[in-house]
Amino acid sequence: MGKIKNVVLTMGLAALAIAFAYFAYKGQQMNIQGRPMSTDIIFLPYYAARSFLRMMAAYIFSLIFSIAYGYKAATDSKAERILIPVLDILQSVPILGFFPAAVFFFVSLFNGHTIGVELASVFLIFTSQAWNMAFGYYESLTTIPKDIYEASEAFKLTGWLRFKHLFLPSGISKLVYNSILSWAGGWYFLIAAEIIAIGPIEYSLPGLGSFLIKTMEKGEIFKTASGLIMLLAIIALMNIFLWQPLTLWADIYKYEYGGAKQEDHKKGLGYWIWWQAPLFPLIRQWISEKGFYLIEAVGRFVFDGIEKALSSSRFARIFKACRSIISWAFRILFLYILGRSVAALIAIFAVPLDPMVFEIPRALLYSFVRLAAAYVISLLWTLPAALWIGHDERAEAFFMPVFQILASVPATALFPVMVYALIKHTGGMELAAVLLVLTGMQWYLLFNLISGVKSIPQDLKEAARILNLNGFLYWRRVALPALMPSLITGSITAWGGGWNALIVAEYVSYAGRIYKTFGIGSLLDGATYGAGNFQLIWSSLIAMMITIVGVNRFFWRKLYSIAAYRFKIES
Amino acid sequence: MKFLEVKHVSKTYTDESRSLTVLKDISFAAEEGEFICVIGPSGSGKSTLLRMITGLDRPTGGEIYFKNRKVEGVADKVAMVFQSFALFPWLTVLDNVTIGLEAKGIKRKDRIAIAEKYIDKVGLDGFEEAFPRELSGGMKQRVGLARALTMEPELLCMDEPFSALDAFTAQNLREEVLDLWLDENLPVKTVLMVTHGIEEAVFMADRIIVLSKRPAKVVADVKVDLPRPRNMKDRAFSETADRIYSLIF
Repeated sequence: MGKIKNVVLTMGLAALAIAFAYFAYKGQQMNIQGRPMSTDIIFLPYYAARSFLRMMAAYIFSLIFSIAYGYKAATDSKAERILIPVLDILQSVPILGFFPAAVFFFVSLFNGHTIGVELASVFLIFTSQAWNMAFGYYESLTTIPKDIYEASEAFKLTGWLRFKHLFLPSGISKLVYNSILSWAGGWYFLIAAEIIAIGPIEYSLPGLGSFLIKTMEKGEIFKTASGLIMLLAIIALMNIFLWQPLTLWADIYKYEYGGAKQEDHKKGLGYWIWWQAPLFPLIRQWISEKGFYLIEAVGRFVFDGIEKALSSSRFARIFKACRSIISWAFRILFLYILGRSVAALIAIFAVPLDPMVFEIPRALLYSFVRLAAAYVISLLWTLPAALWIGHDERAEAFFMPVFQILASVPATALFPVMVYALIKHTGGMELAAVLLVLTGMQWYLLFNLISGVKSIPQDLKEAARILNLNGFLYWRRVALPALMPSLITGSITAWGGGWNALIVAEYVSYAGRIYKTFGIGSLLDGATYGAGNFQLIWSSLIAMMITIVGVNRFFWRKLYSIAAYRFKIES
Repeated sequence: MKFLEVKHVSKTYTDESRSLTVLKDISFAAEEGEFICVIGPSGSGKSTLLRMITGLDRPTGGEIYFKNRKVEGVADKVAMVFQSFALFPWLTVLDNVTIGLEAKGIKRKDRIAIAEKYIDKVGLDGFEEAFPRELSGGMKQRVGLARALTMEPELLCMDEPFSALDAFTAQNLREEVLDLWLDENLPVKTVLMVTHGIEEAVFMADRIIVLSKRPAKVVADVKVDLPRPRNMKDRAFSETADRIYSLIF
C-alpha cells in the first residue's frame, strides 16, 4: 500500500514539475532585456548588499515555510502522510537543474519584467534553504519527550500558548543549526542564481555572485579576489555576530538536563557585542522586545483568533463553507494543472526524440562513477579527521571554526579558477569535475561524522579505556559501529549535495571558453544554455530524479534502518 | 457520592497484526482524603491506569468517574507529577510553576502571587529565576510538585515521583509530600500514586491496590492502618510489606 502511494505521489509531483515546465516553456518566448553590468570595484559594497538582501528574503521565506510545514506535518497525522514524502522528494531533487525553468516561470508570470528574474533567484535560494530546515523542525517536534508533551496536556496548554511554550522552543535548537547549514547552502546557490543565461539571452542580477563570475570570465583576478574577500568577510561576520551567539543561546532549548551551565553561554566575541559592548545591547533589547510583541500578536491571531472566529456561532457556518469551497477549488486547480501538464508533456515528447535522449543512461552512469569517486575521496579524509577531531578537544577547538568557514565558502565561486588551474596542469576536465563534485560532498560527511563521534557516550569511552581497547581495536569495536548511523545520514546528504554540484561541475565557462565533460550534468547544461532543447532538459531531469529517489529509497533508507537497529546507542 | 470511581476499565493496544491487553477489568473507588498507592510489577500498566484517570489517555473499555462526572480529557482539580519531572527546559522555575495558571488566562502578576505560596511550601524560594538544568533531581521534582499544587488540585496524581531520585533525597521528599497532603491549608485531598516500591507504598498509603502482571487485574486492595508517622523499622511495618510481597510474587 505504502509503495503504491509513494509511486502515485512521485508521479503527481513529476506532473506538477512538468506543469511548471509548461508555463516555463511559454516564458521562453518572452524577452528579458539584458543589461550590461558594471564590474567597477566601487559597486562592490552595493552588490554585496543586494546579494545579502536576496539571501535574507529567501531565508525569511524558508523560516516561515519550515515552521508552518513542520508544524502541520507533526501535528496532523493525516497531512503528515502526504507532506513528509513530498518533502523527501523535494529534498533529493537536484534543484540547480530546475533553475532555468524557474526563471522562465517567474519571468513569464511578470511579463518579462526584471522583478520576475529577481524572484526567480530568490526562489532558487529558497529551495536550497527550506527543505532541511523544515525537516529539522518536523523532526524536533516528533522527538519531543512524551512526558513533556503530556505535561503540556495535563496543564491544559492549547493553541498559541502550546505553540509558544512547547512547539516553538522545542524546535529552536534544530532551527538554528539548520539555519547555519541553509545559509551555507544558500551562498553556494547564490553564485549560480545571479546570472541567468538561456540560449542567446543573458541577464545578470546586480550582486556578488554575478560580479565574481563576470570578473572571472574577463580574467580580472584582482577584482575577483576582492569580491571573494568581501564574501568571506560577510560569512565570517555572520558567524561571529549571529550564528555563534545564537548557537550558544539555543543550548537552553535542548532537553539534556545537567551538563551545560548558563555561564557557558557567556563567552565569545558575539556575546560580548550583544551583551556588553556599548549600544548593541540596547539594539538587541529593542529587537527582542518588539519582536516578542509582533510574534505574540501574529501568533495569537493565527492560532486563537482564527480558531475563535471559526467557532463563534455567527460566522462558524460561513467559515466552514468558505473552507470547503477553497479546498474544492484547490482540488479542481490541481486537476487542471495536472491535465495541462500531461498535455505539455505529450507536446514535448510528441515530436521525434532527439538522438541525445538516448545518451541519457550512459551519461547517468558516467556521472554516477564521478560521484562515487568523489564520495570515496571524501570518506578517505573525513573519517580519520572526524575520529581525531571528535576525540581531541584541542584539535576541535582549532579545526571546527576553520572547517566551518571553509565549508561556508561557496565552492561555486571558485569553480572557474579551479578548472583553469587544473586543466593547465592535467590537461583534462575529468579530474576537475571530480574535485568540483567533492566540494559539494565532503563537508556534509565531515560534520555528520564529527557530531557522530562526539555523541559516543562518555561511559562507553571510559569502558573502552578500562578494558584497554586501544588503537585499531577501539576504532573497530567502538568508534566505527557507533558512527554507522551518522555515517549513513552524512552519506545521504553528501550524495544529495553531489548530484547538485554535478550540474555545475561538468560544464564550466571561464574567460569566454566552455569546459565540459560528458555526463548528465553537462547534458542538462548543454541543453539549457546551448540549444534550449526542452525535450532533452526534461528527460534528463526526470531520469536524474528517478535515479536519485530510487537510490535513496532502495539503498540508503534500507541501510539506515539496519544501522539504526544494530548500532543505535540507547540513552 | 464517590470521589473517584474506576469501573471495569481495560486498555488494549492494537496495531495491524496483533493486540496487547495491558489492563483488564480494573475496578476500585477512592474516598475523599485518601492516600492510595497503585503497585504492581513493571509493565503491568500502572502508569497507563494513572494517565487514564487524569484524562491524558482513554480506556478502551469501562469508565472512570471523578466527582460523579465521567473523565473525558483532563479534568479541573486534577494535577499530575511525573516520574521524569517533565519540566520545560527553556522556562525558568517560576515560569514552569506558573504554566498551568497561564493556560487558565490568569494575569502574570496574579500568577506570581499564587506561585510564590507554593514555591515557599516546597522549599524552592530563591530559585525562581533558575533553569531546570541547574537544579538537582530533588529540586526538579519540587518544581514538578509546586507546578501541580498551583492548579489547586483535589486529586493529585503521581507517577513514580521518587524513582528518579537517590534514596536519601527520595525519603526526604516522601516525608514532605505527606506533610503537604496532611496540610489543612492546601486543597489537595486525595493522592493517587503509582509506584513499584513496596516499602514506599506501605510508608505513604492508606490503601494499596495491588495489580498482577500483564494483563493486569486487581489482585488485592490492602488497607494500611499503621499509625503515622510510620517507621520502616517497625515490626508491623515489615509484616505489612511482607504480606504485599507475597501477593505479588
